[in-house]
Amino acid sequence: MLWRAVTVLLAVVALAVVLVAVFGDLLVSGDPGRIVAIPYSPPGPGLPLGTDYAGRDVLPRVLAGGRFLVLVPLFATALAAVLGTALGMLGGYLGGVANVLTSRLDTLMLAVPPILVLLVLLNGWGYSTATLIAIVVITGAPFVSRVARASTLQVMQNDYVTQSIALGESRLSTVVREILPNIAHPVLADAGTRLAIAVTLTASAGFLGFGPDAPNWGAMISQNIEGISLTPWGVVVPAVLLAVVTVSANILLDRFAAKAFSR
Amino acid sequence: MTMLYYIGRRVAAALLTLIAVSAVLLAASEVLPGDAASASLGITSTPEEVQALRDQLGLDRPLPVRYVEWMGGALRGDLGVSIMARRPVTEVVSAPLADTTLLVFLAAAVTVPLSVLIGVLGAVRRGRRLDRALTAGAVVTVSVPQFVMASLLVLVFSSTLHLLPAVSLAPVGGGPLDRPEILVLPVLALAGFATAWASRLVRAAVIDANAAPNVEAARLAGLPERVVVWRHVLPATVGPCVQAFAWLISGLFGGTAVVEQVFNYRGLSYVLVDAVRNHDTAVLEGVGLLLATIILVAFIIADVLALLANPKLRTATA
Repeated sequence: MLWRAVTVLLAVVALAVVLVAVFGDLLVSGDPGRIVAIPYSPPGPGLPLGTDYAGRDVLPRVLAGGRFLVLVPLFATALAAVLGTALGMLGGYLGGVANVLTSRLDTLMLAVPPILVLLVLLNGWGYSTATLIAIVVITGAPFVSRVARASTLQVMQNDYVTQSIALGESRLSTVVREILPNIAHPVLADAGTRLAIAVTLTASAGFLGFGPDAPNWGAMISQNIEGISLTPWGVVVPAVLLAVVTVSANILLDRFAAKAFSR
Repeated sequence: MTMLYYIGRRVAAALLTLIAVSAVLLAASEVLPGDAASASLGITSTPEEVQALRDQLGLDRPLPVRYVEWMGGALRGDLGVSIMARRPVTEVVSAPLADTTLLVFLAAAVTVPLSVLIGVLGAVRRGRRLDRALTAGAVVTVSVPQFVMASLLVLVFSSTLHLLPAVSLAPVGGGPLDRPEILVLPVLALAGFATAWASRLVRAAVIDANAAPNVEAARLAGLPERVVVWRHVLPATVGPCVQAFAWLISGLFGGTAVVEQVFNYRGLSYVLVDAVRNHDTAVLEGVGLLLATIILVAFIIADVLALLANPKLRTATA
């Protein structure tokens, strides 16, 4: 009962935060990069959240700083889910060498801290949104693949798959019509966690100084932390919003996906 | 004999993994060749100067040749030269690596006992109110990005309560241990996340072990609960737990990359981020190789410990 009330409350808050993140910069009039007062001014008339380290208004930067951190991970996670599922099904369906190879590849990727992969590839490829998406896909897909491979191996034991193969259905048809629907649930049950990790990685990149020129919550936290004792809002507001996005992605989306696809 | 064979196989597999990882590392970090030379010389350099440095660094030779040379050098303790610092990479990274390892070690020292305690509590009180509260707390803690958690710790313990320093700079000429209070918040930020994560795995391992047929049989045979727990449940949980703690080492090193920046702790994070900004590829490759080696050694140690704890694995074919 209490748990359900908390979930509903969290869902409402999460929805509001995601709406602000994606559409917030429509509310901003003028340039969020404009210098309006001395650095680290506390909140006052016309400046509800004070100013940041450069003397810019924090509020429009908060409103504009979430879109990148929601849309890039959403797109990258979807891509990672598709690629990871394809790779996992390939390993599970073909078995033998393909199975060993894909599982070795996954284990290898899972042992390396994603943030290191991020730094190495940023060095190798240079920063761009495409690089960032590629990094999220490369670090996320092995987790999806592992789940998809294990589920495929399990589903392959079922009679309807054996029958489908015995009836002479094409491999593609067997995979798409018999296996895919049955591994969708375990793969999607993990989607929220994957998205939360993708948001964390994207925001961490911004925090380390590798992000778009437009404001983003990750960069705001690192830029304003030195003045946290003068005025905390430039750190606290983006930090709390970011935490709401990742926590709700992890808790709510997993529950939603599990419910929507359970049979 | 079988045990030595098993350990030998694990070490051989780890070496193969290291070769694969290092090859990928070298290939992936040098997709944009030439930038290393031009970035180091700056925008005022002439094409001739850039070419001269490229020749000096050997950037024009084929990748496989450079890979063999690089690994050969690494075996002799030579990781190349940082083009920004104009000093050997080993010299540039040794002190920051030691400071980062100190953070990881301290965070692990907090995480291991705490996550065992929380995990076992959750498993024993499975489904009860305490377990649900611990689960909810762990899910929330794991979901919050580590630099967000660290920033909020600064807000609470430094700028509001004034208990601990917000900036973790070591005194001039000394190390972090000369001012231990600067280590508290970074370790807390790292250990919070790690404990939340590891306690879930400990809980799952204990629940699994508790439901195993041999444990049920021991209970049905009327063995005292103390004997059941110490002789049957505990040995079966050691394996999964030490595996989880090996992952932990990897995760903690990853965590330091962002957490150190929050506190201005001068560890590997600054070395790495500066290397990416300046396209100082040799530093990045050197640190990558060192960390990959540390992580693989942690995995081997975990494998051996799991083996020692569970005699069944010794005869298994895996």
